[in-house]
Amino acid sequence: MAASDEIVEIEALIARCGLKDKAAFGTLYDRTSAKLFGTCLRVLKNSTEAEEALQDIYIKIWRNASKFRPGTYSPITWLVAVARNHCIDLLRAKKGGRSVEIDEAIMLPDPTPGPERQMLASDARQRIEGCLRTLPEDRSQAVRAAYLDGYSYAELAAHFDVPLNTMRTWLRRALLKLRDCLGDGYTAADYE
Amino acid sequence: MSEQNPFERDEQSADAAALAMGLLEGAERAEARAQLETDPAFAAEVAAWQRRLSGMDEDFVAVAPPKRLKRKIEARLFRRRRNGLAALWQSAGLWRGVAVLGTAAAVALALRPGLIPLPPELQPAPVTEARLITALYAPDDGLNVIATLDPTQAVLRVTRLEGAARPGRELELWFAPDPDTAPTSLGLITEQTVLALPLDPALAGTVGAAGYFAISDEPLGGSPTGAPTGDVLAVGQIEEIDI
Repeated sequence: MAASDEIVEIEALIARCGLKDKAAFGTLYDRTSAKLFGTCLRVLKNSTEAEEALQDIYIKIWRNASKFRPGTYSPITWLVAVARNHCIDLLRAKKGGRSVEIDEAIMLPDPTPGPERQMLASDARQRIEGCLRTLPEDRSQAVRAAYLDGYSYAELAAHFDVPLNTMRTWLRRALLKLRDCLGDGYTAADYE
Repeated sequence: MSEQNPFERDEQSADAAALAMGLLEGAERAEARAQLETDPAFAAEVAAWQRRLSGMDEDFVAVAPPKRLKRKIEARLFRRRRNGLAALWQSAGLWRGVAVLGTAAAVALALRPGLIPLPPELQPAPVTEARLITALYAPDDGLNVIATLDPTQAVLRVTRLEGAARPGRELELWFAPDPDTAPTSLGLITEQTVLALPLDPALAGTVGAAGYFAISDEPLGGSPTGAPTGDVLAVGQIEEIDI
């Protein structure tokens, strides 16, 4: 299935969930839950917590499906954002911080490109990878650790052993540079 | 944001990025979230950041969750009161006498009311009017029907997404304002994918979040008694939706 067909299908399923169509919810879950579970596992780094989170995330998706506006971003982007935000809420709500050693997590190697990843080696991915390469190595590592592993300014400052304000300045500058490189974030696929 | 100078615009964009990234904690995070609700320009910039950053989403490697999770989620969403309620509806004999008495007064609805055929694809426009919605899903019968009501218009839209009546039988739609009240027939669900059923305004006024819709299997022409006589195929609680 071409990526744009998938986008149309997932958008239709979300729209039907907005109409409280339970069958569509089941299909949406079947088509997207592995991606969102993978997201939870990567951010939370704990399978029990990821399982709990995934349940709450799909309940949010069901309740908020009518708010999804196609055209703003792809439905997968929306679903992943719902999942990431939920997991980050959980992390931020933890008083004593997270239990996993940050060094260990940041050093996790990137997964080998599998067939799925190659198929979806999208414009969006190639563009952000290209733009991240224009940043100093430690800055791009910090951006990726924040996005993929859910680290806060404070956690990143501790990891890179720099003052909190330095980390804020690093990341804000890095992100604005990324913005100038990426533009409004639309890719050719969004217009198909 | 249009009146800001470039420096302010960058500050705003960096704040939006920090929220989209999830970097903020505590009061800062709460403030940024509040701004998201009240400042459309900021919300648009957060959405732009979600698009920009989504290229990294491919690093979230898909991992199939344990099978039981889907059942747990569906149980939490859909089965809260359904089983007990379905049993109540099944014992329709309980209401038969009551319903027959009530039919003349309460059912101000013609069977087979004016049917407005709409294109088979769901149109978003009518949905935006709806405030109350019910999903009627009977997987065993392949039946999947959605009822939406815009209380200001007293028009019930019934969308048959999947499924049909059993051979030689008909599907009849019922409404009860709460679990203790006998169901009122709203008419037969015909072959059209989307039906618009005008409701008696007095009846429409009783349709609320405590109510239920149900679909029963009935002989041709519908229930002869004014209460469900065949199998109750699906029962759905009415939900209010956010637009």
